[in-house]
Amino acid sequence: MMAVAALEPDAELMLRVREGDSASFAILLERHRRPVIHFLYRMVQNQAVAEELAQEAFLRVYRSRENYQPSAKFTTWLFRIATNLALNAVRDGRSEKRQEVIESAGQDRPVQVFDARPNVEQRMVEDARMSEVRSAIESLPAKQRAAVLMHKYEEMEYSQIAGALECSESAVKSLLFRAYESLRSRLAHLA
Amino acid sequence: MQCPSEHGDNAGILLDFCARRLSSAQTLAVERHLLECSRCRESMDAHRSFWNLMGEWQAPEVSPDFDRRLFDRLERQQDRGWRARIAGWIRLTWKPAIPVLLTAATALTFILVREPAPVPVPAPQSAAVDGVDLNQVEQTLDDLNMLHQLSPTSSQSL
Repeated sequence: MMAVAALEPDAELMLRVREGDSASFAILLERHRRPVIHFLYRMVQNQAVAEELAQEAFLRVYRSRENYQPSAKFTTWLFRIATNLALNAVRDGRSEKRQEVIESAGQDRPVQVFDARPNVEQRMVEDARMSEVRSAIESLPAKQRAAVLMHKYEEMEYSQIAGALECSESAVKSLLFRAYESLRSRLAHLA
Repeated sequence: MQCPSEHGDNAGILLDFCARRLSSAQTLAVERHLLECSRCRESMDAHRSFWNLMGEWQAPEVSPDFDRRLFDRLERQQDRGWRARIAGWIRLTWKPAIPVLLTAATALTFILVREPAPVPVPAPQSAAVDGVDLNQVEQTLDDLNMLHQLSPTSSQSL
């Protein structure tokens, strides 16, 4: 008697999508929409582009349903698609900074103050800090950036990140080590 | 446990400790080491500050109409799927059909454009009698006239 390995819940849902169950696709969308969009947002730093790429990722999942095989975790497969889309977008220069980002505090920039409460200045300082964090992450090579975002913000395992980036676990650890060293060096004055 | 500050291979363990990715046994080992190693404690503090700073970056919320736009695109794609299948069928058949269509078009053009062959028309009946017949008629009339003059009834009148 052959033991059947239990499939992860997402893989089971995707197999149902393969059989034509669109409600299962809606459940997968509900579970993974937010992390995919957030990952893509941090990759391209533009919400509209991130949502467009996320839509394309889910469309590709749906289009591939008939050939789906649960050879890897569903999340790994989904993030592989999303990562490839993001890397292409970064390569094609589709990432844009948000227009409303406040430049670093050292520059002279007229700022309209709509509220006289003390927390406006705190918000400006916070915005400046976040702007530096975003710039530091954006300055990373695209693959290092993707590895950091999956590791830090999506809390993915090394094996999942390796699957998404289509490389070995040791390569992922190397990417992360270099990326974090670079980020710590650049953001040391803020930490 | 090997000191991460002295052994570069183990440096990632401090990051994993920060990210809470270690097993319970590994976490305990790191915590014990931090109690003894000031270098690693400093390094750990720097890691933690950096990790918390990174964590402050929040992503915007997803647009409320994201799902609707996605399902609209899915529907349009399925409609295009039908049209694409028909277009694909046409693409498969149009190339072999070209010679047949060209031949048919050429034949049709030939039929419509060429001049019709002259239809043989019988010669019209002329009202004029040809010369031979006219002379014969005249001769016949002269003969009849002569016979009339020579007949017994006609001579008595003389």
